[in-house]
Amino acid sequence: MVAILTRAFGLHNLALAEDVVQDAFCRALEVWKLRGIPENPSAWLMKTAKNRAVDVLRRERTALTFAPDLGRLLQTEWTLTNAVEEMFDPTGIKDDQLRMMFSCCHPQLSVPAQVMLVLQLVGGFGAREVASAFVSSPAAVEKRLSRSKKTLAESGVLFDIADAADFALRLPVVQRALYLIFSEGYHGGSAHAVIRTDLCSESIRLTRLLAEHPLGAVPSTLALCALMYLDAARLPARLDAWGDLSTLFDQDRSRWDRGMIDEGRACSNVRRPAPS
Amino acid sequence: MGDFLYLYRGGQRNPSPEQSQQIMQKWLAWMKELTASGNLKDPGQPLELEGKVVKGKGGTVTDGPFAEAKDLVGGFTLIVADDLAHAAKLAGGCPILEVDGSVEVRPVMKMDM
Repeated sequence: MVAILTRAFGLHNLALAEDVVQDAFCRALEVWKLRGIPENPSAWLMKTAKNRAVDVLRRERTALTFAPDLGRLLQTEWTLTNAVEEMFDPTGIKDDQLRMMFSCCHPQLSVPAQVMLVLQLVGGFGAREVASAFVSSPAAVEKRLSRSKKTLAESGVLFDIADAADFALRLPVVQRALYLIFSEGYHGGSAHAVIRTDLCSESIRLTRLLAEHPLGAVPSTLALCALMYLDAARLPARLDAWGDLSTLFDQDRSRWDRGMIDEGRACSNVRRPAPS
Repeated sequence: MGDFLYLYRGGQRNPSPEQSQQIMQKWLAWMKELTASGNLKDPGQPLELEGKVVKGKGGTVTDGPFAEAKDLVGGFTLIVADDLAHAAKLAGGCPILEVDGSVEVRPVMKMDM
């Protein structure tokens, strides 16, 4: 949701986007604790965030500048609500997430900072969860995230995923960040969880997102995807009965996830048409 | 038996993600208990923290009430109970009490002839 809202508000208003998302979650708590959790919680949250976004855009349009290409659309009431409606359309969401992912992998940021930003802004991980992935304290992570977000917000505009040259240039950086997230989940350094399946699933999800974009569907991305699937397939068998890591040799292969193996194979078998 | 209104005051409005999870679970459990025991008439609604006060013959409107956070009514629930004492006892299970909040228990005037 932060990705969608940053698209609407502009990267310089990243903090505002985060506030709106935070607000949606707070509202969810207040309403759901009395009325119960709705059938489709994420749809509810999206709708709430969308309404707040319209409120913010309407209220602040004189005080703040928003995304450059939205300028005129925000002038009238009718085009404003339509513009926001479109922004929250499911078909555009994947692009927003990609855009945010690429923006997070900003050259001015250190690799760990990039990874933390991707986890928080695209993956929706809280500071505490990011901290446990990095064997760091939530306070230290908060600080780092705060500084990195400031750098990001000051960089001006979101990465343009339509620019093929820029995309190709930054692609390896993004792939590395995703691989690091997967790696951390697969054999992490955290004391309380040797395997972090949430990190593995999130990195797979994002790598898939990358692979589904025309500019991202290159052999290196597909190979990364295949690697993640095939490694993740072995996760159910990686821990033995005592919770210790078992070697490849000792693993019960019947516990390997066949679905994941198939996905991994499918990724590595994709044939791209030869470049003309 | 009668209807009673619970008015919630105080409590946290901006908990951390971990706290949110716990708070949610506790409320859902309490509401479930009240439903199971047949005491929940209407779960009610949460209220926004902003508001207006309309007063006087001319119906003057001012912003407010500017009560302290702990005094502002944040939501309500309608209960069915044997009597005021029973309603108050049931309110003892409200999770808002654990986070410095309070529940005002008011009997709804009986209308049966």
